Amino acid sequence: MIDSLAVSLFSLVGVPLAAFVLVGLAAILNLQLKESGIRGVVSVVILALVLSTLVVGGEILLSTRHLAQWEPGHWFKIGNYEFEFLFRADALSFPILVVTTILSAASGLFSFQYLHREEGFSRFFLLYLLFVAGMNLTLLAGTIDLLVAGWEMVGISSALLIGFFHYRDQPAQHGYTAWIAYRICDVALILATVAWHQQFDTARFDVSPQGLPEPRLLLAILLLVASLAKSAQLPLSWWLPKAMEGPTPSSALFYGGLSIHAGAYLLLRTRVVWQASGLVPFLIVLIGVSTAIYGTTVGLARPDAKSKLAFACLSQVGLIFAEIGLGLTTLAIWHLMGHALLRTLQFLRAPSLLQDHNLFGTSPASGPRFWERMSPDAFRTWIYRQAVAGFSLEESLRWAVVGPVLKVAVFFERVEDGWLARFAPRDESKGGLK
Amino acid sequence: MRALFSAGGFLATLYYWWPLPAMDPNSWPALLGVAYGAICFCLILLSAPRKENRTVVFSLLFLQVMNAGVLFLGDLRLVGLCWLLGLFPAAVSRSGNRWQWLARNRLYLYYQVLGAFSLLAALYFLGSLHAEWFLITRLPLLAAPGGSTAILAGTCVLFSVWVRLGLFPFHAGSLSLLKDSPLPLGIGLLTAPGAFALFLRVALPLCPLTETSLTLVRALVISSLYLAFLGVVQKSPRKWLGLLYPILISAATLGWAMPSHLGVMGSVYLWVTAMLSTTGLGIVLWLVEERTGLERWSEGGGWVRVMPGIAAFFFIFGLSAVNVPGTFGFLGEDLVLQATFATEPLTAALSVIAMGLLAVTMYRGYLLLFLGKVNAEMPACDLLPRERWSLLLLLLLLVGFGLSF
Repeated sequence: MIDSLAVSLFSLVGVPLAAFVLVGLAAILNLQLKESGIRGVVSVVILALVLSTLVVGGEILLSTRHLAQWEPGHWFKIGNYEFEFLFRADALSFPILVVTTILSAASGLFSFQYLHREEGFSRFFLLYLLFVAGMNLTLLAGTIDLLVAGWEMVGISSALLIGFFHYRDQPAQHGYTAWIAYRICDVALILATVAWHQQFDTARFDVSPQGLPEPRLLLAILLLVASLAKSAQLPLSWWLPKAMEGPTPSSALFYGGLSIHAGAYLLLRTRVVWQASGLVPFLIVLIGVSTAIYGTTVGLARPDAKSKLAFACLSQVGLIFAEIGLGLTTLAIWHLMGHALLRTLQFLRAPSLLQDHNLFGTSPASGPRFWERMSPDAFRTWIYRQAVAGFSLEESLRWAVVGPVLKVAVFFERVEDGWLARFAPRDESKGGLK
Repeated sequence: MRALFSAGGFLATLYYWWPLPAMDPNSWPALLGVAYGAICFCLILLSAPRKENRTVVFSLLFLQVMNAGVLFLGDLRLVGLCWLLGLFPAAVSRSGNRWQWLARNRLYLYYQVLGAFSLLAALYFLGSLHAEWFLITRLPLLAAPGGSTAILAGTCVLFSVWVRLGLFPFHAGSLSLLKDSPLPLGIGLLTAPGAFALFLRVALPLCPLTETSLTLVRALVISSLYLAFLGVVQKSPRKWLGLLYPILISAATLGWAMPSHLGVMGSVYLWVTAMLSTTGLGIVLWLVEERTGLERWSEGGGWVRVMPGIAAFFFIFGLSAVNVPGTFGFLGEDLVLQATFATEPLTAALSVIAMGLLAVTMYRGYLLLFLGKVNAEMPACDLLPRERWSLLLLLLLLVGFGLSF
């Protein structure tokens, strides 16, 4: 007998992944898929996602534990160590899964028209499918190992979609910037995964808070760093405004709706680990509130709609972080869902802002706010200058991190070339060593 | 003649594939054999219509036979001979005048002579221990009564492997060689296929894990960070490729020093990943060089428009080199880190950071070559069917191993 729950949980990850492999293989083999073919594949995926989400929802409602779980076995097993497959939809992941399905379907359908006859039509949907599979895997992962797999899939698709318009220099550079931020969080998450295994002797999330060994601070901080970069929280927020170079549907899906909340989801999923340590919840609140203030202030001085939305996103995700840090889990989940839905809509409507203005007479710009009228001129000027410069966040990071790294690298290169030059003198006719 | 050579090459690679249907994840010689067979198959397939075909095919066939010797022979003297003769293809890879080549690559030659002497010294030390010292199956028995002599011999073997692989600080020699040789042959040499076998079959039984081997591994991981930093500012794709290999192998060696089956198997998986993904990247860069005469990253830009297939393979092999999920390397990295983190958390962390930096350099290369504004207009020159299928074979192995185990 077919287990409908197993099929549904598998379909949520497996169907988009299979479609990704299909479209990817066609691209690699140089088979030109028509737009209609890709639309057909994506429509089937969307239908499968909707049906599977409904089945999983029904199963959760009928279950006494409000939990739908499927354990197909392990991927590999060597000695006593095994990489488990465990899919799980519960009170935390299911609401976000519903939002994911709605937004993925909406963005997919929207993109059929929006990217019609666009040069990279199939490339967009290839990455879209990878993202949907990755996001669903992240949400349904019952083990931290599986979560890492989904997390990296989301990161790869995100960086490549930012550089979607690759024939211009800026989007390509910004994709690289996002890639660097994602690698920072991936390094932290991979280390957190190994530390998790060492501490709990299992990769499962459902560890008992009573049996937790000490110390957990290192693990908690690694999880925090991973979530900061993915959700663009301070000081790792520099990449989010640059990420707006991608096509509008991907900006909506990634940075308005889903990917930006993956860090918050990670914190919610692993709260049993960091909640007990006094320092990490405090840090989460501090970073969240600072990011909210930073996002709001800088957003005020942005001249274009997408950048404004990006900074508004930062502020809201900052507030969600603060709620998580304060232990307001239910509020954070509702906030996350509401924000994802609203922001995706705003992003998708952003290209039509002027049209809306002409049609409905709404004003995209409002008058001075209350605090603007009340604050002294000198302060207001100073704060706007800082906001326009983004509080020099990027310059500070360049000075404190990128500069020293490059200096060290250049120094190493000089040492290396000096050593090589002793044995293989530069041969001008061959173009030298480099 | 070319066709004859190619046909011989294909037939010779096929015997490596016999264990594939019944592949056991714990059988490292079979795994290495299949991976190496695939690499040779692809390189011969790609070289068949080219001028340097005879040199490349001959060198690869020779390397295959020597590799099989190191993997499967039971007599240590013959294993050592195969290992030393494995250097021979380096000599035929020279371009132009032989003496000029020697002069240009003398650092590589110095290093290899050092490695060869080290292996001979190991054989000499072992010879003084027992009448039947040359039987590989007896090596663990020699270790206990031999004491420090056996450990010394094991260390010498380890040193020889280290030098041949071009691990820090011997990577400089390989860099100069890679710059000078036809790229496919350089890749074949860099994969140093018998090295892992020599380590597992000879060095490890003689020289059980000690604090010294742990210190060596720590040094190696730190050096991989150094090499990753170098990769950040590299201007030449070939040199970047030369740095990539020691970084990947350094990550793999982390598992060697761990006294667990988990660590050793993870290490084998990472090793195979390093071989396959470096070869894939090497072939891709070679194809770009052929089409554009590329010498520096900065000469590229926007080429994804004319060679989308090549760009896609570059990115995919780059991802597999940095062990993304779904590839064999993800599995290997997971196992190695699980084995290492308990006793060596800092070393494990440094290794992960080095891989992170490597991922950044990979994307930088992709950006400089394939994305952005077009630097120089050129006609469409994407993959030929032969090239596409050979790269696909490597990719299928990387993904197939990763999913099937």
